[in-house]
Amino acid sequence: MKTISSRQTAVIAGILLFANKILVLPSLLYEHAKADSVFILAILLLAEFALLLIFFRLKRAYPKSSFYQIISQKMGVFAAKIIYFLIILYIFYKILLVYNISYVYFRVQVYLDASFYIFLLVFLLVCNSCVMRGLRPLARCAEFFFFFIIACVVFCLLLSIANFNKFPIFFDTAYSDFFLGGFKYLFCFGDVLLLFLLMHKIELDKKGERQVVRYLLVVSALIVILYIMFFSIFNHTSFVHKNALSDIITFSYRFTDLGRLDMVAIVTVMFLSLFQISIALYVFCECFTQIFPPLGKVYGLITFDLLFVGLTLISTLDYLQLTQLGTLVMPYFAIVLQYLLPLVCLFFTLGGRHEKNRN
Amino acid sequence: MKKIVTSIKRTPMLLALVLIALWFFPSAIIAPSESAVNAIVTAVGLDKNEQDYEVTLMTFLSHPNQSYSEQYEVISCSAPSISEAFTNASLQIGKNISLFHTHTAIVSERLLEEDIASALDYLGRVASLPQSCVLISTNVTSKQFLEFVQELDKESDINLEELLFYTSNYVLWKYTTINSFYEGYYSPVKASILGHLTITQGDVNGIPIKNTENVVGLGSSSGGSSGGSESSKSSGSQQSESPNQTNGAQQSGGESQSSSSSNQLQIVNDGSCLLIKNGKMQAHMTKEQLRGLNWLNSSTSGAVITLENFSDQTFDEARLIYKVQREQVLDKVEFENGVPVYTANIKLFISLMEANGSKEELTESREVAYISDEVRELIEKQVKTEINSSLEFLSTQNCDTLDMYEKFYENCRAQTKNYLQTHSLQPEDFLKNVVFKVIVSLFPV
Repeated sequence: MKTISSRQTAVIAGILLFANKILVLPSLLYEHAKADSVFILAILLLAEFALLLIFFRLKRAYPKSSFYQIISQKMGVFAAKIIYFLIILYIFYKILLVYNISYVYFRVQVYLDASFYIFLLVFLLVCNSCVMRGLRPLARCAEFFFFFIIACVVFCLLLSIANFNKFPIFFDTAYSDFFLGGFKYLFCFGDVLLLFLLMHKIELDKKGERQVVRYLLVVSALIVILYIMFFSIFNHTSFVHKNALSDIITFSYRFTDLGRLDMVAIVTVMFLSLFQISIALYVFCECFTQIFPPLGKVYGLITFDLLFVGLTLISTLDYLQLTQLGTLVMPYFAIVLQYLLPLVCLFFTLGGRHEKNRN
Repeated sequence: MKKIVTSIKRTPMLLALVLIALWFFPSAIIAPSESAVNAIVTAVGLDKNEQDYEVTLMTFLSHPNQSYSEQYEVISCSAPSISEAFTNASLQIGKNISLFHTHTAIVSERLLEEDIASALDYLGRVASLPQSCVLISTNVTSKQFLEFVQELDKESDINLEELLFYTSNYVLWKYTTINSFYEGYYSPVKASILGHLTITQGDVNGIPIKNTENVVGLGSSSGGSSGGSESSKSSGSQQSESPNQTNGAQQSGGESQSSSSSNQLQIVNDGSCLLIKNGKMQAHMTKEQLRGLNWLNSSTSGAVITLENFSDQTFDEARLIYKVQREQVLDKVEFENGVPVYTANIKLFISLMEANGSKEELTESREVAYISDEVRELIEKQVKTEINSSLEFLSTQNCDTLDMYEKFYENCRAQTKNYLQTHSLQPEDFLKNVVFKVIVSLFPV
């Protein structure tokens, strides 16, 4: 089986960690928790690290098995299929959200005249192609662009210093609002779950684990700084600004004469969206093949494309409606799939004989 | 052929690329140019008459020419709502209105009689007007203002954006952008500041234009009385309390009809601004009042302090002009005996620029750094008086543009909350209750 290296795993985890967090989420969180959203972010990022540690432990315990094999062995095939079905729904929603956020972002920022169909066609073609080529080429490609992406994010953050206004007022939110805000947007986090689903395609040693943690620490730090800068610049108007990464650099009057500085942010979001959707789509296909073993990846892709195109064409959902819809149901999905499931897996590694012991 | 098919089979993305190229290239080739489809708006003006909103767009028109001059056209449309006015404007010029390159938004005082947040909301949310766009107000209608600016642009190299950039940077010390307006609007004190440019006639320090015929309603043929018509029509009760230069200028313009220079329309940028409360105009703030507030702003430098009829051991009945080269403000907020106290320790680094009148022999190097005890005393008094007058004005207008409430809330949260509760105050009333302590120290440069 073609596996990816620990560095590529770190890159994929890093890219996934950016998902759904750098454009709309800051303003959505601000509506609930004001500047204390930074703490919600920090807590949920810590939870990601906890999930990562569980993943390492599970990987060490079952180095060769897939996640599906582990849960079907421990919980039964039927339960495993149900869990995978839920995961498929969850991933599908996440892809839909990333796609819609990116589409609205690009449409507003660059492609004013681009129709929805053209955008859909191009996006699906590229992402399908990435999935067809396999995980290793995708990871290698992500590895190639990762430092460029990080450099662009750092560039945006450095530019935003010029727009710094004043530190936001922290600890100004009621506990209920704080926890409600965190709970509602749980689904924007927990992307480490995808690593669980790819665990049989990942090669990881102790050194590799440290590398993954290092990469995630860097990405987490960048996201936290982005939030702090965002709230420092916009303060009371944070809820108006839906494109955090772009807005922190285009906010100032002094930059308007320098041309489209936000091109840096646009390019960053473009790469991130492509990789995030491609990786999630790959995982979607993996899950699909686990549920329907006789059908291959191609069928998974076709199913996804049909569902995706059908849903996006029939419904008139934009990302805000999707998010609102998501806040009703998805937090429960997130709790079960992102947090409870890995905790159950942790339990598997604690007692009994597992693969490593058997070997 | 077989080779091509094989290579496509090996690399399916090549096929995708060909498909995309086939789809896009022909349409891209036959598509009209962007400038033919989109009208690039560099400034947008909003007005309100009795029933309708009027939108005025300063539009960049791209014509092939051999000179490097940019040509602008001012287009105006009225409708019961702003979105309809934009649609009408689009129909009128046969192009989509593109606000991506809009640097300036102008609102008339008449429009400021109502909450402008909803009007700006359409521009920002739907029409994609950048939030970094500078927002200013004017005494005439926005249409007249933009027509004037168009003429100014034709006649001189003075550009509206550069003018506003300078004002933001060196006079207001704050960008009065749409975002900064919203920041005040959504803050607990609901107050913000807007830059104010007047167009007037008379003996004022402004930039005149020669050809005034194209400025509808303000042209020389229509007389000087229209110069401040919008202001006088609209300001209503606020008129009496606003130290409006326009009116002064009108009067002086009327007195000097014979002078051709005073008949010319002029744009006046004297650093005055408008106080905005709940999205509506609260009052005019003169440059002197603004200067008083700027003493509390460490970004300020270049301010000039004049001491008239100054006498001490060196000078006798002299006129001394000091320039503030640098300023440091160390502020502290605290509650003393349950009362909010703001202490500002202002350090001014000044140098003597001019000394007119009789004086003792002084070497030049000493003269620049000359600060006697009398000078110190007088400057301290002058700075404190100016600050006091500005703070009184802000308190009277109930406009906490200094963000005092937030400063106290940030540093003494429990006490501030408690204070508001005890005295049954709203955050916007907090400024009135703050005691200001100002310490001025002078240092020679």
